Amino acid sequence: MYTKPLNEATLKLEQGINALVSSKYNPFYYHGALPQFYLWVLYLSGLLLFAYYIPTIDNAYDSDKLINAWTSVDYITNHIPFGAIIRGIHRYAGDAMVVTILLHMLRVWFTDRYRQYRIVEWLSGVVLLALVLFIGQTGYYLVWDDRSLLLTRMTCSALDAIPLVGQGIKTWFLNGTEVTNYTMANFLFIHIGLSFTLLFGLWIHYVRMTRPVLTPPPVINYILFALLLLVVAWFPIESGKMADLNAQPTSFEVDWFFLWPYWLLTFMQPAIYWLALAAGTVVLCLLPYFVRTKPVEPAEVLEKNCTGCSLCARDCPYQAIVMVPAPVTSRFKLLAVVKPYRCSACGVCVGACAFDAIDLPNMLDSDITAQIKSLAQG
Amino acid sequence: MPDDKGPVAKIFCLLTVVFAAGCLLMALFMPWAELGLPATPPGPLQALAGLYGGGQGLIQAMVRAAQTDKNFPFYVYSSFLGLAMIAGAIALNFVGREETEKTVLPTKK
Amino acid sequence: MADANNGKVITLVCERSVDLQDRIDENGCLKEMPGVSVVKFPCSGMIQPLMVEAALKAGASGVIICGCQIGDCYYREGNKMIRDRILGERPPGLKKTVDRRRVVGFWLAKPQVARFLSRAGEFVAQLQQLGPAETAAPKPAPKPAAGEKPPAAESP
Ligand code: SF4
Ligand code: SF4
Repeated sequence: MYTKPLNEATLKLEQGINALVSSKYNPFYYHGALPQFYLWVLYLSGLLLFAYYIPTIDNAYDSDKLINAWTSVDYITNHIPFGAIIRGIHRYAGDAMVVTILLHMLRVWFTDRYRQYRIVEWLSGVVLLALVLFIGQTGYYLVWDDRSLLLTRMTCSALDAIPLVGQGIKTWFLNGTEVTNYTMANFLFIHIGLSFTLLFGLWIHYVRMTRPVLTPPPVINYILFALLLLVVAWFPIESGKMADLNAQPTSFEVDWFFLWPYWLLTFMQPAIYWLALAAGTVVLCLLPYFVRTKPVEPAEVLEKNCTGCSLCARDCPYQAIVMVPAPVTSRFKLLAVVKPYRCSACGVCVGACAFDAIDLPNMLDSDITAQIKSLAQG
Repeated sequence: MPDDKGPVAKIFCLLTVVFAAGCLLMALFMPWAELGLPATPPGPLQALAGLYGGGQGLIQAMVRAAQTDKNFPFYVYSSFLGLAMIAGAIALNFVGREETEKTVLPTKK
Repeated sequence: MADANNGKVITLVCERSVDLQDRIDENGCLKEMPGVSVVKFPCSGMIQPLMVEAALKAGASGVIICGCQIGDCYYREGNKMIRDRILGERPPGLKKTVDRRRVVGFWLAKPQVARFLSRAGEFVAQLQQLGPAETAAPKPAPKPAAGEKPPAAESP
């Protein structure tokens, strides 16, 4: 399969890291929990910024009495103790989240852990990635410097190019027909509101996994946070000039984690841009279907042996076994039932069952035991 | 600490702890100064203040940097906290790491 | 096939863990160590403690359980499950009467074949020091003379 060399390379890399830090602290073994950690950091730092942020664009008054989004961000950065650090943490934690999500994605792809019974995880992951990118972009509008203004205008003209619904989306985006104070209120709402829908997306992402790994061990958390602190200190962020609705900013600094779509927009026709984005998303979603493999043969319960002990349901890593009330003819209260579309044919349930009551159809445990016995006697 | 660590690892671990403590101390001097607390710290901290005084040149350079960028102290604080956390993580790694390549079953019944 | 004074060693291995495909002959024995035979599973989590017991009862001198590196598992947590089961930390566990010295777990990635062979070699040497397995019951059975097969206890 095409991912085979990539898989071997990943395993080799992880083997090296194991030798260095021991498998207990290997960050690759918590690859899904890394972005989750940064999400908590973002929520907390975002809460602190939210306390001082003012979502307006006013600049009609005298310059030293101005109160708007830009001046509130300036106030946070330059007047509140550690404000610059908190702002930096919020900015770079977003970047770090994208990096760790990509790492997570590449690892599940390289090690072939994204298809079949994991399809819900993959598809929800694609949606989550798109959401994270969009939320990150709205964060760049909020600081309301000249880049924010340019990005807002680019978004509007790109939306204009969409037939039928484009105008509607633009009105929703600007919260009106032009950039006003209501626009900023909307940006803030999108930024924060969508951040919390991430939690809903994550629930779907996790729902088919038994005991999902949600937090890395403290050692890794320390490193993740320390890296943020160092980057914040060594690459301080600076706002651009305050946005001026009458100005026509033309160039902007690209944050490659979030703003690459705008970089595309600088040389693509809007129509082509939307097609490219849509095509990219569709390819990502279809990736699991490009690989042809034989279908999974789900585990099967032997009703007459099942005692209803629930061990298999507890241990199944994909929530594929449910315990239902046993038929009246049974001596026991419960009966295990496999949901075939969730089953990976891993056999963990076979290992959990002490009553030979659950089996992989192409690999009966009685056959294996017989084979082991004959080998042992040989 | 698990007993299969060589002396080098032990020394390294110790150095890490000392370095982390140093970083934390440095980081604590910052709010001390920020809050305008006395330049000569009380009692047992005197000796440490002497140590601190040894780095006069460095301190002056930092003061100058702080005058040009008001956020400079915060960035220094942040770096030291970051370095201390990394040092702490390395130390914790040495204490908590587990050899998981082989599982031997305990023979006691 | 058995070692001079010992029964066979059975390796229960996850097929995503160490890649033994090229190292076994048609009888499922390791080419380097003919006393060690290999049974493959889709995941080490599928191994039942009962299977370990069955192997020892049928006269094997030892059982190696081999899964992926702890922390990694294609099916998420199979290797931790079987590890915890043989350690008695997760039901179902091994019977009390099982000689704990004859069961070992290795957790290795696909490319670590050499590592596996040296670890397995160590284990076989250790088993040789232990002598033939007393398989039938917790009470010591009469020891067979060197060169003989250990009494193969049939399951009741
Ligand atoms: S472990 Fe076996 S006996 Fe227990 S509920 Fe599952 S199938 Fe039934
Ligand atoms: S084989 Fe068993 S443990 Fe594995 S996913 Fe299917 S039902 Fe769950």
